[in-house]
Amino acid sequence: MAEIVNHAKLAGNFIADQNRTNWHNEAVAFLRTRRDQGVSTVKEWEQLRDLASQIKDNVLSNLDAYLLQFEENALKNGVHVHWAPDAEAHNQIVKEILQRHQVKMLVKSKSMLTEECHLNEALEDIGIEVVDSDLGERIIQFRKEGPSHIVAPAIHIRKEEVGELFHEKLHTKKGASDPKYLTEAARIHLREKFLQAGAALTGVNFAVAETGGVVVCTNEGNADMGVHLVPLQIHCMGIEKIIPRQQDLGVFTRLLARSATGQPITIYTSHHQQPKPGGEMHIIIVDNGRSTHLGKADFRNALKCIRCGACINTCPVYRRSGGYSYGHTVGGPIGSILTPGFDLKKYRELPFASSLCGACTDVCPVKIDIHEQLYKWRQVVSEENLLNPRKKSGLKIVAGMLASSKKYAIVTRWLRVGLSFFPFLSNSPKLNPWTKGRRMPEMPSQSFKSWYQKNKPGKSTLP
Amino acid sequence: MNARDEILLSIRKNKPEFIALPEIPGFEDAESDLRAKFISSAESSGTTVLTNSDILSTWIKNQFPHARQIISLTDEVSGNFLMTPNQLPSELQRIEVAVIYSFLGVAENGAVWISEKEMECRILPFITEHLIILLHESDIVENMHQAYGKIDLRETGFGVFVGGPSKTADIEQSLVVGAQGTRSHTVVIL
Repeated sequence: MAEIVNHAKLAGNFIADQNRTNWHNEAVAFLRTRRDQGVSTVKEWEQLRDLASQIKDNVLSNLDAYLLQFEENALKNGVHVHWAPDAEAHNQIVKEILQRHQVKMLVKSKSMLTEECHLNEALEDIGIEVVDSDLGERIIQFRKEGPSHIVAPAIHIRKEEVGELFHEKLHTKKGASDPKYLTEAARIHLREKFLQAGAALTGVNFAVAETGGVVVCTNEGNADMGVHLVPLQIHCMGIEKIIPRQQDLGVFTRLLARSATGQPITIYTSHHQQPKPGGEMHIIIVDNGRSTHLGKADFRNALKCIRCGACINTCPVYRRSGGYSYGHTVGGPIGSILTPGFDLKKYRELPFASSLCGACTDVCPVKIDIHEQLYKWRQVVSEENLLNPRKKSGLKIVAGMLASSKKYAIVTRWLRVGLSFFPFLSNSPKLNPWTKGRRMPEMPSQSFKSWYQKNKPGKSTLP
Repeated sequence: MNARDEILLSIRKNKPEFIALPEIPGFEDAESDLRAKFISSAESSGTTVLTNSDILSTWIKNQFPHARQIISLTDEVSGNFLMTPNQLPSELQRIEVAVIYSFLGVAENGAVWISEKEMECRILPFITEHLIILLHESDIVENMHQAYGKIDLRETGFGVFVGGPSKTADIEQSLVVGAQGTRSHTVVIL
């Protein structure tokens, strides 16, 4: 059985360093602030969200036909199209393409799908060097970590730590931590890699059924530096990346960067239609659990996600628990509703990693009902008998008590008496885990019910 | 059953009932001063905007006095590096300045569209240290809806909207211009 991702425990490790927690919280919140500024300049913002949501509704309801249309047009463009039901099949396809061309080194731009499939490890096993070319991704690759954020993969790392890492790997000056200096060092290092590589691989932001092409968005230009310098390019996409028409790109390109970082558009929005002259272009269409998720009526909306990260940046839990507390490439609120669909047992704790405040739903550019799905997943976890035993017994006791006014009155009366003699009991984290890091409010001397009995109109001395 | 049919079958089994596609309005603003809006958006993304093309050659000389390799694919400026029809992309690794036409600019975000036709070699607008784009004022449209209405992706092998110089904020959210692509991005409005 897969290991359970224990969010509370992993978050506990992260917040053990309070300064880092505070710093991380602010770094991530800054992205949310930038998003708000970017969004405020577009007066039709809400209309765009509606349109994006409706387009994605249509896509999910007609996905098979769009995939076939996409394939047909891509083939006409001279592109090789591959289909992978799962991660293993995907990695196998990439391996075969690279081996056929005797590629020794692959440059990759940011792709959450290949992280999900653990492609790097699969390629390194057969002796192919993989170079992640996004700066944040290169940093975490040097550290042998996965991304902690889908848009800003190294957001949890301090510049001093990057300085030390680059000193070791790229021989930058010891103690140097100026981001400009470190970025320049990475630029020189990565340019070398771009020129040495035998093939380039990218993720896909949008795949357009009508044109058979894929759209890749970056700010650094790393995807294009990779793709255009080598004869062999590979683009990997989940089946849900399809959009029907070229004109739909108008809606999504206006939403994506503003939601992610507040920019009006990513610096590079690249449209790959055909292989370069003399080159070869492959597109791999990956399912890996998505088509099954499509069958879950309450949860299928999560497949509308365009991976902007807005829900993550706004989430009060993510900001303080860090990306690694979710145990999956996609963390935060969107990760907490996607992952239980892929493996309920493993990710059963994640729907509880939320205050259900709903901020995620408010900022989602494709209007996924994220906090409602979190709530529904909790019910599924309970129905499947997968609740944490402590939570389960606690809820059972409370439910029994709340269902009977007699029981409620007796229990609260005795609690009142008991706690007045032993007040530390309610604040003991061992007995009451809720009080880890917070205190119970003072118990009032009487219940509201008894206060009301004394003071209700008629008997009342109140005006 | 092959992988393709397996995936398609699973989708057919699981997909919801058909929901129609929405119509997308143009969101045009007749009052809008496209030129002013373009300049302001471009500048806030770190783009330099020039409006006097007569002095362009002098400006380039002053701005990049040590540039040894300059490619111009325009009539307005002359370069000193000629690309061949089968140009090897890696041979462009020392290009310092590239001057390219764009026939589509977007006011809402300051981005310009460059297709394979204008850039000739796909790596050029990314590998050059400094990119200079010549754009006619009459080619500026309001927003991305109009922009996608003016192009047909099926007519090009590759095309890109460029919204400024390459940048990153991957180290502690500090914005650094000049990541893996260009260090500077200039748009000259003709």
